[in-house]
Amino acid sequence: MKKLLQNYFNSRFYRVLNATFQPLLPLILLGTWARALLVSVFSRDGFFAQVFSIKSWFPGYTPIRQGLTMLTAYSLGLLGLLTAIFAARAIARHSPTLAMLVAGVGFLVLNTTRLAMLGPGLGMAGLLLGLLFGMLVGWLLNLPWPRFTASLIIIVTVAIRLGLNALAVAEISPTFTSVPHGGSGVLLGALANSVLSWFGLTPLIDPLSPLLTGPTATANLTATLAHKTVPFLSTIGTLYRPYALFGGVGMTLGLLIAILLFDHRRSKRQLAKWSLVPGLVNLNLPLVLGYPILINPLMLIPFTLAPLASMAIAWVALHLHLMTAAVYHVPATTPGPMIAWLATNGNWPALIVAMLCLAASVAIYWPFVKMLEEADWDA
Amino acid sequence: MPKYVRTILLSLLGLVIAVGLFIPATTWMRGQVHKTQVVHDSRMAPVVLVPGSSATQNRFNSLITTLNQRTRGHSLLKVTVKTDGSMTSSGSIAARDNEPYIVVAFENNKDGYNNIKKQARWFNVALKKLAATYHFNRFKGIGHSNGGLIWTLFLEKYYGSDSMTISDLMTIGTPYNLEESNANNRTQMLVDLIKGKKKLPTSLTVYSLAGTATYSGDGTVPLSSVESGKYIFQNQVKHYTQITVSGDDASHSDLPQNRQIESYIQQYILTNPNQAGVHVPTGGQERPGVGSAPGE
Repeated sequence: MKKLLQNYFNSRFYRVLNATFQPLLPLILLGTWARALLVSVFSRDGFFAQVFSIKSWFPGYTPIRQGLTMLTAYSLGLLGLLTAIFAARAIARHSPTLAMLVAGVGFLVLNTTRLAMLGPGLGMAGLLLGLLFGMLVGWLLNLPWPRFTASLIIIVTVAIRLGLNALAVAEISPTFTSVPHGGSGVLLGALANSVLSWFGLTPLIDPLSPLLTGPTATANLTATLAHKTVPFLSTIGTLYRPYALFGGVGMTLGLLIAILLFDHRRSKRQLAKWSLVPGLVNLNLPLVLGYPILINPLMLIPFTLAPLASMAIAWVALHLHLMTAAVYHVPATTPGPMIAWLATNGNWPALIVAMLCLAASVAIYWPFVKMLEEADWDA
Repeated sequence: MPKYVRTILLSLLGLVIAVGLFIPATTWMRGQVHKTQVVHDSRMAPVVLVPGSSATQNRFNSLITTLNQRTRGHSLLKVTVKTDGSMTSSGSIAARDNEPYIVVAFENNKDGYNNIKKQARWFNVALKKLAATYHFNRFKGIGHSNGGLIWTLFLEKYYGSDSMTISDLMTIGTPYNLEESNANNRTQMLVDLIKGKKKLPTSLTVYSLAGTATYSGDGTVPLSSVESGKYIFQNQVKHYTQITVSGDDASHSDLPQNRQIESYIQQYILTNPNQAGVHVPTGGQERPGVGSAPGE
């Protein structure tokens, strides 16, 4: 196992991944902090905005909000593009500057579609494609005649772009709109969410999308208000959102705590400390890219297991009627462990179950953190 | 600074932040849930009146006529429940009236514990039908004489807050210990009512009004029998208030016409005494523009 890990750490792919994202980390942290503040404090639906009615008394609310929006847009909003540029640099051996230039221009060409929906996206949505595109460009420029190849790449991207435009006219747009809302669909949804995030793709259930929308949630809320029994016990809204999304997709608040408790690597501890505040409002990008979780085969296990285990605990507690179902609407930026307490309107067992889920996720992440730490030191 | 001091300080800081978030967040959530509940609750919350034994659905006509002279916009529906559970009614609930009066009387309106038990069962059937027909899930209650006993029995035996909520109950001259004037001699009914008191909703506010024609009672019901209500309600419901009125119209059967009791109803039971925009059908009474009891 350790041998395999060390092989992975020494692999070209891992080095490229690290060389791509490590230089970007300061910018990612800045952007994530700005986004965390923006969505939790300076948005109408933010947790702190609601609880402390920030808007009514905070001086300079509007300019701060605009500033934070800009900060987010010009950091995280360019992440896909920057990933392409830095991935190209990490791969290119002879002419890294040319690779950066070509990857940047090429990715922009691909993205400036009339219907931006069809492009991979300049921001976080374009992370995986940016990485792949950048790596491809870097690799191509390692071949003979890089200057000629560079021009060719730009021309090909323009051709692809024209093709995309034609597709856009034909209105073929791949979208994930139907999120499963009950039964085994909840399990699949949770699983898919973790896997998609692990690949750097947009998850089906964004931790920042509003909680408890959809027909089952409405039915549950209405039943609770009428003092009747809740009709849908196992849904995304009753199991996944309140118990398995602490710190973002993959229950990464558990990982944060595990790092702070057990990981002795200075750089990782530093990263965890800086990720704590965004993690509290369920943003985990610095952790996913910096630890890294992204396309790290070992981390996929706890990244999917922690949410599933948490949901299992919540499912048991809910079906044994130990706690009431989460039915009330709370802001998406509510600190993870508090969501269940608030969404049940102050059910003590629910709070205890949430704490149990957090403990379980720390326990699940712990051996993996240990393994990575050991492999890293020996490598 | 030693490492453990730092750890302790950091944990303390974390705890302070957690509590500092927890408390305001919980307060905020309670407010949100309350708002959601208000949106969900029916706008209509009728005042349901139950007369005592030997009285028909017209028992409260005079009371409501006087109340409607003092207030505005409350219509009246009167129903009589037959022994088979079917109902006949007169009057109607006016459009946009969020606080109508509904009188529920019984075909079998005889006295006696056994009859009161039956009446409580009929009342349950009638109230459920009314709630389904007129779409309300909240109400307030008034019971005169045995009507108060029917209410109490209903609340203990049939009412479950799963589909409706009662916020206030006013009983007028209700003999919780029947005709027994010695509070130490508890009748079977009082014993049963005390036994079932835990079923009474803890959010309920109860007013028990007693009349006094003499120093010992209202001429029919002994004061101590009315006061025995404390053994049922005290330490169970949210508020329990005992009020004794005297003077004109303070004898048992005159109580529903007592000026002071009318004021208490207006003050404690009606949430919105003057409702705008409700046209109450007039029942041909002498003062135009004032709603009255149809069939008066």
